[in-house]
Amino acid sequence: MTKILRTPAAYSIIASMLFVSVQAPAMADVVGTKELTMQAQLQIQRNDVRDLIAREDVRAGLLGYGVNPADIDKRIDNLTTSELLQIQNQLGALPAGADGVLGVVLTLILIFVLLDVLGATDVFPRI
Amino acid sequence: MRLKLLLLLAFASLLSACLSAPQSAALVRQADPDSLEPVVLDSLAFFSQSAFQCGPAALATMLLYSGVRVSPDDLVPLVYVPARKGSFQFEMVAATRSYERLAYQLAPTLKAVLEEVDAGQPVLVLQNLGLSWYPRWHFAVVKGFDLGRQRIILNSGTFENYEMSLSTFELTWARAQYWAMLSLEPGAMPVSAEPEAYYLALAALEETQPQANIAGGYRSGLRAWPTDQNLLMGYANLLYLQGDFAKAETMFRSVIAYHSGFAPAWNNLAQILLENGDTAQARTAVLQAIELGGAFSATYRETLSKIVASEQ
Repeated sequence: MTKILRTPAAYSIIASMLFVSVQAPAMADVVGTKELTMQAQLQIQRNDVRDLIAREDVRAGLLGYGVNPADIDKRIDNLTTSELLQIQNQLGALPAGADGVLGVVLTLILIFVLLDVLGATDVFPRI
Repeated sequence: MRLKLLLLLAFASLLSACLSAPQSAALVRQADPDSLEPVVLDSLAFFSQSAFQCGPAALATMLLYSGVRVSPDDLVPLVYVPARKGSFQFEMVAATRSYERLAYQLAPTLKAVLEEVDAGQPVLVLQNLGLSWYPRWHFAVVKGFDLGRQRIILNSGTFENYEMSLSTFELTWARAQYWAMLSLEPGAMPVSAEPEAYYLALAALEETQPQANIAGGYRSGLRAWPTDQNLLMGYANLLYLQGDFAKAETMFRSVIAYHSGFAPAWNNLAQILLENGDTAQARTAVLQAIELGGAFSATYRETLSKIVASEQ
């Protein structure tokens, strides 16, 4: 094994391996597509959160917490991608006018049948 | 007994008052009465779903149509989550990419869905067949429509050519946030495509499956939007990575020609010029990037110090 390693061919293989590992970091000097895409997505998420915050109910909720809507834009710019995602998930889960609790299973089934007739749901296919 | 019935009817009318399908109504209203021929993609395969596995069945339908030989069983380990008896959207997207297909997320409009089908492209959709507070998630494939009869046609669950009214579809789709996706061979361009969504789909494919035909995807994108900053830049970076410095330089220069305030393009151009030994021009370019500044300023300063070092 050691004999093989000393042959000129082995040296050139080792040299080419070294060359590859030296060359790789040079790529860090261009701004890559992956980084640019992350940056673009961050901007999209910021805009999405801005849109959500522009919603009347969300704005009212924030005012209820004593947050000045004029400061919100600045705050959004300071958030990281993962923080933006967390906000999006929470805001997205805000009930959009859901009314009280209708717990009884029978009532549920009744409503589903009704809604199926009205064309709102498709739980009971008519085939 | 009568009272109960009356109450129920009153409740029903209340409910119907808050149900509206504005997109369907607009599409039907605006439809050209002379071209109401139904559209059905007859060559679309059908896989009847087993148990709760609508995700694998619907995705296999889509992939097969885009030229991937795959069965729902192959996809179960990729997209099915037994504990949830279902599949997640992001896994449907990721699985599509794993077969070297572009997972293009459609704009949230019924118009876009029907345009795609009209152009011969089936659309994967997520529906909530239940209610917002009692969800029943379901993946299906839109394969046709009939505006004259206000119907949409899907391969859905165990039903091939399942017809439902356009407005019911809209309601069930709206409750899934209008989620819709196409599976495309890289290089194919959706008729309803928008540049940002197209670029994001392509960049995601490039990141996870770099051996796919990414270059073809960029070229198609640039045919549709010749001055798009993201696509020009992405293609330039790809050419650089592939070692085609001459073409990459030209491409970085065209990013700058259309978007002179985009600092990363100046920096990457400087890097190529440096590698070509043209340090004077490289320095001018990177100084532009540094002056413009932004999120990648540290990289620009690094490029400058390399240029300075090579001059000594």
